Amino acid sequence: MIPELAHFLCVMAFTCAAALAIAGFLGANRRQLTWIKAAKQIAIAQFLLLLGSFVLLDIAFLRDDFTVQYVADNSNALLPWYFKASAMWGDHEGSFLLWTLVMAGWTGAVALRSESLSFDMRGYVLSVLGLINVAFLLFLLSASNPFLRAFPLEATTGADLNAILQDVGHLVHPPFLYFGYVGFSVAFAYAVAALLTGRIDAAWARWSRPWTNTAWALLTVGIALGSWWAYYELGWGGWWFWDPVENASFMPWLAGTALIHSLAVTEKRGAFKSWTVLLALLTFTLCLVGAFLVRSGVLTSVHAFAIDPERGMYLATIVALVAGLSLSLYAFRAGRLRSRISYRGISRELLLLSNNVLLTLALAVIFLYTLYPLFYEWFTDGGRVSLGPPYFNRAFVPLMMILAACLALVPIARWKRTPLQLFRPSLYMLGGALVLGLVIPLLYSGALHLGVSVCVAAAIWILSTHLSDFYRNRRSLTLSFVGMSIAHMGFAITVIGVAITSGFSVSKDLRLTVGDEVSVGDRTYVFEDLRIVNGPNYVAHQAQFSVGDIRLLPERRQYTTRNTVTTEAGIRPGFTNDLLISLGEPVGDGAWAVRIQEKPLIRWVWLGAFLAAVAGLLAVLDVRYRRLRQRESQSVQEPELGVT
Amino acid sequence: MVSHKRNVAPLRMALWLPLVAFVGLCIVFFASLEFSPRSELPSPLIDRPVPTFSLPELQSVSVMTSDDLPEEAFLLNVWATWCFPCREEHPVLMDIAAEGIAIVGLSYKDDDSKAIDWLNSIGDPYRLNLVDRDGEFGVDLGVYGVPATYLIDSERTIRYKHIGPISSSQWRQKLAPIFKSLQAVDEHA
Repeated sequence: MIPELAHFLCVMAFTCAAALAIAGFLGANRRQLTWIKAAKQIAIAQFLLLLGSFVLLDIAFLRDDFTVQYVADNSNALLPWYFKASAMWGDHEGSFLLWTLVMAGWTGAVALRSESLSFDMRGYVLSVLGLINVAFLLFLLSASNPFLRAFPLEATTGADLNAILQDVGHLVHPPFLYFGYVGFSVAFAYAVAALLTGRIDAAWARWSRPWTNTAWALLTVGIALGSWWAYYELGWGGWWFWDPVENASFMPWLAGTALIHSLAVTEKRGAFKSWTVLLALLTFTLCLVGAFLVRSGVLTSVHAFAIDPERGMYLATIVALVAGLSLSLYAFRAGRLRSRISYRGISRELLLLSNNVLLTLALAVIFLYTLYPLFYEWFTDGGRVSLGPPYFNRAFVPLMMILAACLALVPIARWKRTPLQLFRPSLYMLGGALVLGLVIPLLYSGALHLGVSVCVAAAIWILSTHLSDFYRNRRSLTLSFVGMSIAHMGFAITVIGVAITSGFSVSKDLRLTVGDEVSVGDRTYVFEDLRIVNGPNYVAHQAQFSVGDIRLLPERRQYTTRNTVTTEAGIRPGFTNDLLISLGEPVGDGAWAVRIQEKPLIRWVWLGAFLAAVAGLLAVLDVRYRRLRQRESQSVQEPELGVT
Repeated sequence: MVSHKRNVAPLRMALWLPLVAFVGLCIVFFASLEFSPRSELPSPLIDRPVPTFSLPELQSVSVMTSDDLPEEAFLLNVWATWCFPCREEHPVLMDIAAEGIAIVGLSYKDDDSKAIDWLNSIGDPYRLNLVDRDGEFGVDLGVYGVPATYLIDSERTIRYKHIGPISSSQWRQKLAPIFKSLQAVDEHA
């Protein structure tokens, strides 16, 4: 009964989504409060129905209901309960149910917190969100139904969850990623509503900013978690691979970052209007393109879900409709937007413009590189290539360094134009940063390393200008200012982490037997023991290494049900340095392939990202947005009927 | 006023650019889905010999090894009674077998009596049928979905892997030509 009930609730949610699209539109079109109020209730009902559906299907997982095909394919009686619960989003169908649930959650939140909007705006926003829900739910119910029973029934204990996904990383990484992806639908819906009503002004930007910030912060966390998970679970110490699916999540992040900054200019200066709208449309479209790339199998990747051209077609159709309709609307209507702006020399406007140009360029490069194999295959009739990290790094890193240099000037620059003498202190800081940048690689390796020097110097420059500005403004701090500063410093910390860990990691592949001693870097590692450990659903070879008084226990697990092998690295995490040992295959005579690595400052890569995410959320809490809500909810008593 | 208009006109054209760019990309995407439906992942086993095995035969129950495989080019079809698409594929396999092409079955994670019932009731296209009860040989073959079909030449080297049910049009247009080329090599030799 339970999966059938879940299925039924999901169908009900679908009808709610359709009703929401209609009610929102009628409310906006006829300017009737009744419809808007109805839309709000429907949106909340839709969320609750999907939540019920989600929980019920998860109960089927917890109760090992293997008569449900999706449960039988992705779970196993031997799994610990928390992995049973998260096995729910281990494959395409369930993860798409999570995706639609998150979408319904954002829709409900908008319905609850959009009272300050004018009638027509609110109606259109809800209507657009309703339509997106319709598309997602239709896809779920028609082409990726997770509720179906297995016929004929067979006694089974489940095919098991993919071994790599039996990890706490899988519990948290996909949900955060989806919070972020789907969250950009709000900025999208608001941009569409703005194009429909023709009202794009400071209030529009001020309303969009907290939603966009929140989505951006959650996506940042999602990506950082993914990177951290890859680092310890894929077992070989890599943390970013420029894999198509990573790129699929990184492209909306870049567009979203540009959008946050562009919205700031639109709010404060009434400029970049049509560009901001375009970015809002683009960001969500890229999220959908990402879903398409991952779920259609157009590009092959370690992340690829079950491959199914029919699903690919469906998702491509959603992307085509969403992007095609919104971009057509843009082409027809954005011409009405007027931005008046004047600035001279180095000003905030110029810096924010360069931010947008650089991020968009980086986005374009990654987009083309990611799709290059596709074009290549197409033009060479089936040839296969893949572009490795060197290609991406060569284009991406220089762009980010120019961006970093612009970023360092942000605290000094003023709107419109900046008196040149203000820049003098920052030039001294630049001098100091360059010296430090040259010295730090010397400390690490005793040799000059120009690439690392440039990155470190840029990052230190950012930190110093931001910290001094922070100190200067210490008596008049607002949350959005604090948020901005911390986010920028988070970026700098990530840059330092990336530069140092890429430049000075030590890695050695060895062939070792128990009792061997090797020195890697400045440390001596002793291979003390090798034993067999029994997990709940796997058998593992566990090696014991010691370095001084530190013990490291890398494992090589054989999962029994699917007969798959995973390497669990033995890691000693540290603020300044990680030690990491991976256990490879036995190579005969009792010897094992072992990789020993030291990764300096690797934690900084994620620390910076988490700081930036927290900062993004801090900015959302700024009183500015709350005051706005109070003011506008007072004025909303008299519904605004004017047409602009 | 005039100068103002002159400024605005090219900008309006620019507003169409995103749409135009997007439509271009769409054409590429749809085309690549349409013309090369990627139901095959490049398998690491392509151009490698069939992994060694020793498995019981379904109906005769005698143990078979690699040496018992046909000496001509053949298809290795992974199937199971619990697999719906296999039922869809079955008539196509019957047609292929009727052309005189050797098909070796791999009864995958299945109940033997059900499998025998299946063959008795809807027809047996297989020259022999290996039984992989626990899916161990399936792991060696890189089976991650049923049905799957391997095109194997007379040297017992895997030449092509097809994932999902074979439809009659797929067989005619794609797989049969590849298989013919495998047979042609044999004739020359």
